[in-house]
Amino acid sequence: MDATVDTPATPPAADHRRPRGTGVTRAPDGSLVVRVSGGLSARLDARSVTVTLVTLAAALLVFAWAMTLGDYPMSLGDVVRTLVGQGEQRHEFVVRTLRLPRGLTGLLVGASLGLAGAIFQRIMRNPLASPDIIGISNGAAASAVFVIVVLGGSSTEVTWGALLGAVGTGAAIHLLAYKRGVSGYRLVLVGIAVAAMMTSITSYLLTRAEIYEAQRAVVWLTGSLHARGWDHVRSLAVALAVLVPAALALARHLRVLDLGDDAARGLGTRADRARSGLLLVATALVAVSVSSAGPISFVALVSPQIGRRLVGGSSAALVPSAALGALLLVASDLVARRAFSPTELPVGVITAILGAPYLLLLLARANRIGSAG
Amino acid sequence: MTTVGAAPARPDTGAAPSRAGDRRRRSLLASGWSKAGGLLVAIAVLAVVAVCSIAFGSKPIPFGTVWDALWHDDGSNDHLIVHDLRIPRTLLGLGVGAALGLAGAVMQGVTRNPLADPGILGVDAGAALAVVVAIHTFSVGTLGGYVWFAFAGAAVASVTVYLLGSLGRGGATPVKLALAGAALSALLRAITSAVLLLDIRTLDQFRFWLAGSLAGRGAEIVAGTVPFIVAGIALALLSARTLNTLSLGDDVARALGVRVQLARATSALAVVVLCGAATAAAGPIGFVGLTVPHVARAICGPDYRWILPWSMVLAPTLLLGADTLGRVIARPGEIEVGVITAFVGAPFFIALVRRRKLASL
Amino acid sequence: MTMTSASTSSSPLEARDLRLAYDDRIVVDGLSVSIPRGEVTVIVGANACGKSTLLRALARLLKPRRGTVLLDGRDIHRLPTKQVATQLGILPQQPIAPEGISVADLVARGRHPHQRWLRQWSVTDEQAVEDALQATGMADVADRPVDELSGGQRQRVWIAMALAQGTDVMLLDEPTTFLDLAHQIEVLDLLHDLNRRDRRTIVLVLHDLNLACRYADHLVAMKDGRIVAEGPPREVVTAEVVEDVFGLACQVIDDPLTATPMVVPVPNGRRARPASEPAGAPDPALVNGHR
Repeated sequence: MDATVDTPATPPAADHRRPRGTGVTRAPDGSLVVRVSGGLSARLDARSVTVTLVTLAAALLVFAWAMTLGDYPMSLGDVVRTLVGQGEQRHEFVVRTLRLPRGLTGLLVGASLGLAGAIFQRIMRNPLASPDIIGISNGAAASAVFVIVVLGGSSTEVTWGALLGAVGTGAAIHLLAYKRGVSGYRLVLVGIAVAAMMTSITSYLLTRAEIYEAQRAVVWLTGSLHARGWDHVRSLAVALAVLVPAALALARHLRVLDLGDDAARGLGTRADRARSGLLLVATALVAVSVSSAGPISFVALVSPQIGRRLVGGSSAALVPSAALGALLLVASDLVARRAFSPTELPVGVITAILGAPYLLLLLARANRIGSAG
Repeated sequence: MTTVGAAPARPDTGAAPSRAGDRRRRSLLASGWSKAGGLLVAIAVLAVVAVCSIAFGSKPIPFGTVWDALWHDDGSNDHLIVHDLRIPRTLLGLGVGAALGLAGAVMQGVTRNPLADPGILGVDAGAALAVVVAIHTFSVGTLGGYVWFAFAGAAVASVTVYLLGSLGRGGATPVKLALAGAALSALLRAITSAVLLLDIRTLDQFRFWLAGSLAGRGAEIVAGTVPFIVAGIALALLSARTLNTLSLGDDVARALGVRVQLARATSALAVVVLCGAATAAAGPIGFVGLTVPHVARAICGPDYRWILPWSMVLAPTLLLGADTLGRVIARPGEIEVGVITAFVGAPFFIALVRRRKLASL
Repeated sequence: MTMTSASTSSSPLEARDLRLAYDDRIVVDGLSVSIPRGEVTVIVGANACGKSTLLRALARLLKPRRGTVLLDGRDIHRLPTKQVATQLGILPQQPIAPEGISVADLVARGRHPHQRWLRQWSVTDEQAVEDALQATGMADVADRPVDELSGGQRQRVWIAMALAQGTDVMLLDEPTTFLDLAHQIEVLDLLHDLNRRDRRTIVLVLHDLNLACRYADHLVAMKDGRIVAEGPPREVVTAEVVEDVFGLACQVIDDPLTATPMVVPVPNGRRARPASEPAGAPDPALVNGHR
């Protein structure tokens, strides 16, 4: 058809819209853009950064407060002095060997769970997506309980056992689900089958154990930060130093993966690879967290949701979720340690008790908006 | 999540439509006759497995004695084992297996979600907490004692979940039920863990119930739970046609005259009765309710009038087979059925997942 | 890849002897097609004839079991994905818009193939998005959430995104399905303008044959995974071809407004109205029935 149509010529860009070559401007998604000469530019989401910084500050405050509480209460001044090396002898052990590594483990585990949860929810485009489905936690649990009950291992040995279990289970699930590529659905189903086998092993070991070993196992299974030492902190720090940059590097692909696989491919992202890479990083984060502290429920589910509401925008944001996870975990651990004093509850109990009302809140919102089932 | 031009179906997906030949590939058995015939074969297999369950066990008893014991009772130890242990156990296995398989199939039909298992209604978590309370607060020590607590716990938890999920517009939709179930289960499990960790004696008793077992459940437990199981089976089988209609979506179902809320509530009731009774009698046994319906669907297609009976027959086959195996390989002791079922079923299930595309519904 | 003969170098997108299949089901076999540069090509055919499958293969979304797809003479599967994305853009059938995303944000994501670690939002990016919004008439609603727009507007936003991508070739898979007629025309007019203005090569899959005739410079008719006819609509759309491809008996007349072919399906006996009766007169069959 060649009927001429009145096509207006492209109007000259209005002056106030002409892009600035250098300096600071705003991108369409609301983030700040900094441009320097040479054509380089970087993008920063101001709100995301603010939320992250505030949350981290809160987490550090709670962390500091937690250091002062316990069977040997001390003032913040005492804590600081001990850290600097000028504290009293009796505080040394408590601060340096007990509370400091425990608090740091809490921060790091919380951050990895928050990050992993955000990645999962983004990729699966489902606010209920949680790393627990894939069965890796169950594998880690089975190995950990094995080490506790059969080998009578120390805390560090349990951690390594759990990590081996997680990696082994992850690899097994992937291999079993692989058939000319991995389909998400097949992965989930195989994960469920493998998880069931792992849970069976755990139940079996629990019935065959001595009661005190069984108790130790149950504590681990609920998720606990008890007696987490510098070994844990070191391994977590190393793991995060590798995984977090990897996650951030792959995160830019999320912007187009959000639009669906076909659109993402059309925009130059190798959708399968990007997704597999991100899932691998998220799974590794979960494996490391579960090995260090047991399967702690809800942090991975709830942090991205809260993050999304605070930051605004259309999808879960990675870094704020990590910060929120850290805050959530240290706060829960504080409650777990002190609420039933002198008995100490595992932190997993508290996160579940906090998480359940949150899910119900989500439910209430869904009701009000009247979402269709 | 918005989809541009969101609509239920596309006229041309770019893939060839499934012709009759392709449809046959989706389920193993296509015609009604082959499905019925297959079902008879499955029942025969179940009968064989049941016989094995009576014939084999932790103590090797020669066939002749077993056969003898079925007809007479001469008070010997072996006859006692057959009468008081193996026969009730087999009957319980049949009942619990059928209940779990059926509950799982109904659950998946009602929620239109192939990953749903009866646990999402909070049944397991409620039963567990109730048993822990029984041990801790009421010092109940017998399996018979647990049964009523477990059933009550399962019932209360699922009713709560259902009520929570029904609040607000739209009544109890699958998504809201799943959310409510997840929330309440998590809460109940947390409380359960807290109690277990605060009282080591409770943990010592509870961990055996937790594994899920058919052992030591005498005739009274069987007699007590069988009526519920039978009632649940009846309720579930009657809802088969409704489930078919529900699978087309709420709107279409309403247009076809189904009272969606009522249908969901009745199905949920069937699930609770079945799963509650099964868990009360044998402790929590996972895997069966989730995976057997998939296998049934792969065999006979998405028609619930077939899926339900097939699930009802396949599940006890798995359960009794696993139970018998558990008794034979760990002589003179046994491995609990809750432990071994996953090991027996999972490899088979994984093979199935690999070989064919398990249809989503 | 070496450039081949002069005839192929004028085609930006070409398929040679393609076999396309899903699992074990072969949908297209031995198909070759050459997309003309700078024109609007429309692929038509009955449901499930393979037209979307062909488009997906051309867009590098589906790997052929046999045969090659050439982008500017080079094997598309040997080229880096990012490079392909700077030359070829696709608007797939069911793109997903994240909840609450604004128009400008969505269009901006089209610049992804041009962005790098340290070139996250350059001047070129900003200008391209601006131009795309102007060209599709979406500049006024740039800050509104995509969810709040009408179907036609939303489709225009997706086209703006593909436009911002800055490619010479654009592929669109059924961009007008589920839109009402006014919006269908709106979208097709826009695509036509883009083609005329920038000489972009545009390839569409449409299922409305009459609209295809109006807007296509080059029409490709498919049936059962093969190309039945190819060429300008006037040559391709004849009663015989329509009968063959769609199984529909029809008459082909000239569209009274655009002089392009227009397909008029032959009504079955019951509904046919004798030519002499005015449109308003009651159907004699019905009148009798009223008794």
